[in-house]
Amino acid sequence: MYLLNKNDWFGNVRGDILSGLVVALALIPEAIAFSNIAGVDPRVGLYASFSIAVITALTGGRPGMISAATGAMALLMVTLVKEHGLDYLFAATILAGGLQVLAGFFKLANLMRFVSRSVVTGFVNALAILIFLAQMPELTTHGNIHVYWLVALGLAIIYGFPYLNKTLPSPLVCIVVLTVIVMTFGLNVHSVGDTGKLPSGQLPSFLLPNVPFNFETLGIIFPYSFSLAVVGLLESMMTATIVDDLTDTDSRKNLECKSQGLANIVTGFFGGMAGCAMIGQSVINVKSGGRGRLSCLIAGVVLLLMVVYLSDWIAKIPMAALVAVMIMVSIGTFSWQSIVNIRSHPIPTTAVMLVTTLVVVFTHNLAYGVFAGVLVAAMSFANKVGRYMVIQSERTGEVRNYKVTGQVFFASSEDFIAKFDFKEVLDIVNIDVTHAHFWDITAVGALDKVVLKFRREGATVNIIGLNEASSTIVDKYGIYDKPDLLDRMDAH
Amino acid sequence: MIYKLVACLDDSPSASVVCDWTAWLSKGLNSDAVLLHVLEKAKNVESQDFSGNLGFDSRENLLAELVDLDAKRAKIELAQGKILLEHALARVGANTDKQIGTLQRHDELLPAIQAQLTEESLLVIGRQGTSGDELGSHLERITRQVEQPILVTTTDAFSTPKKVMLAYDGKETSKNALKFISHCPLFETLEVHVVMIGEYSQDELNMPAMMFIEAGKKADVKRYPTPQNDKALTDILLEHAQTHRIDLLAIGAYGHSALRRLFLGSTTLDTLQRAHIPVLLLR
Repeated sequence: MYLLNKNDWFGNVRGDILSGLVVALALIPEAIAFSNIAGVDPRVGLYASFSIAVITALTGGRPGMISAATGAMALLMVTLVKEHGLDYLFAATILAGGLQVLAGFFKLANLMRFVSRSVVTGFVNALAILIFLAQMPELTTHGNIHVYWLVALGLAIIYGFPYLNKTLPSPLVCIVVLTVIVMTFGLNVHSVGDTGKLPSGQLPSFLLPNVPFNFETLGIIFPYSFSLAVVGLLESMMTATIVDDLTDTDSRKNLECKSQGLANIVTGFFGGMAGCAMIGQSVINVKSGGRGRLSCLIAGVVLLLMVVYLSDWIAKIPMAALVAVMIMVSIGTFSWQSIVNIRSHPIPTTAVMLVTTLVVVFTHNLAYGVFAGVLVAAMSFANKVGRYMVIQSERTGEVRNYKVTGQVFFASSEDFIAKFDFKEVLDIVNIDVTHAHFWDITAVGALDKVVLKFRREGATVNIIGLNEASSTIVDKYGIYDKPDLLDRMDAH
Repeated sequence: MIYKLVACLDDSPSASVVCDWTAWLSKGLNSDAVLLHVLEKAKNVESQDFSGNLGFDSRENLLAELVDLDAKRAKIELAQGKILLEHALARVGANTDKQIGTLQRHDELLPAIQAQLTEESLLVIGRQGTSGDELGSHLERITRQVEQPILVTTTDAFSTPKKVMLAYDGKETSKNALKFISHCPLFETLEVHVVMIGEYSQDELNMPAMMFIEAGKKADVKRYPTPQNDKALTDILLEHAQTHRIDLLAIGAYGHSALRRLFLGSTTLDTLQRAHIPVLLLR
């Protein structure tokens, strides 16, 4: 029923149709450029963009979001295509889709809460840098003086034209103008036709990937599929959150996971490469007035019709025009604000962002970057919370009262032990933990250790006020009040 | 029997009519009422920018832009809604001494209404929406989804109803409606017509009149022969209403099952669309 919600389909028909057209025009150069990154024919990316856009429009959990072939995914496929060929890419795409569907069923989208804002910022910055770097071969290996000034002119049109007219997408104007210039003056520059096959007059058709169905194949494609599934879902979930914020509406993230998976499965069978949600395109869509499912559907269908019937023209587009468009995408994806924020944000926040970005830039795998970022973020959080622990004490005669306040867990347990003075000669030690929380067995072990140490020095130890939260853990794992205490202590 | 009236108000011509009917119901049913104004998000987006390019921090800038746009619109609508509710409160309050509350919510209409309805509630809503279409765009969904009785008013000015008519077909929902009308203090002073269409056994034909006699009241029961099609069914009802100058038409509308609600009730909807008098949908 949710997928048939009338409002999501027909609540904003005019806005969705117009924005769908804008998005379709913007998707074509991107799909070609991403095919180029992955090292496949442009038609692989174009078919993928069509089928992913259509299927996520029909089944997705975030109306208004645009999904298609993406750079983040293309970067992961490079070695697979180079070493094993296109059919293994299709197989990996299908498997990645299957994994994403499973992730949807296991509600793994909920894990996104562990991905902090700094990690997201690091992710988009890394993505922007990688897309930018991917354009470099066009400038270096195929570059000549014409390419340089064409790219510069292209960027000038993309950013200048909207000041004259906002009814025509400026990237399209850039492509048309540069193509006309190149054709008129017969310039010797690399064009889309030189990069591989286009879908001239051919609609995508169903095909089984031509790979042996055995464990060896699985062994080859699984690592790629896993990375594709993870990165695809990460970018899709991040994009969904961005669209949520922009439109002030909610989305169904786990449904979106399944939808992304289904889209990749179908795409693999129709000779397309894996894709996911696109941050830049979704922003363009919302900016152009797209809110419903219709815009992504129209974008996909129009894209297919255009590339199938205008292939001969698309082949003539100079790569310089696409480079200009992709530089725009990379500028638009990068969070420039995050550079400004480095000054005002706390150091750990910046560190998380930088770690995420750097790991991605060096591994070309966004998943590694996110894992690293989440790890650093978790460590810095544990470190911060661990500092919320104070031990006060006072001595009356031969009795010392320790009062523990705050959080005791793996990150603060050493600090906890260090705060007791075992050299002091005492008869009775009272440790008041009423206002402390013992979170894990490391913390319990630390308390045990303290008690044992005091006992060995001949003091009687009383623990006061183990509160509910702590006592459940202590009762389960604590040994200070059990007979064979020393042996078991070593086992910790 | 009914403890809470929920009156749904918007900026349409029917708002004042809804108020007057609410006041009448509140007095007659001895029920408190809440006047509800729902601030819905704009559905259609008019963008002037098809430049399709991404500049520096375009995400952040777009967000700021959209927030500003929404904020401006919401401020105006909120203020208008406050005035609307103030006037409505004064209008209803003048005609009943029960407790009348007002409530503004940011939500979609249907969930906002459902959040206010309790088991013993009655919803009052105008037939015309703000967009000016004959049947308010939300009304169809509301009549399908809401399980409580609904009074759907027209835009005609309120006058205290004198005659009420019940369309009776002997089915369960219809029987419940009959029970409601015969026992409800609201209709004590009103002339009641019961209209039956089609073939019925003598027992079935006697049943409505008996029910009223038991309740110590009386009702005129009139039977019409089965017409050619469902459309004509509505014609008979509306014709009876017109010739007898009925002020309020009561029908037992779709039952509780979701499936029935989805497919059934074409007659109910047809009646709602074509009636020139307020319709009371009973469950």
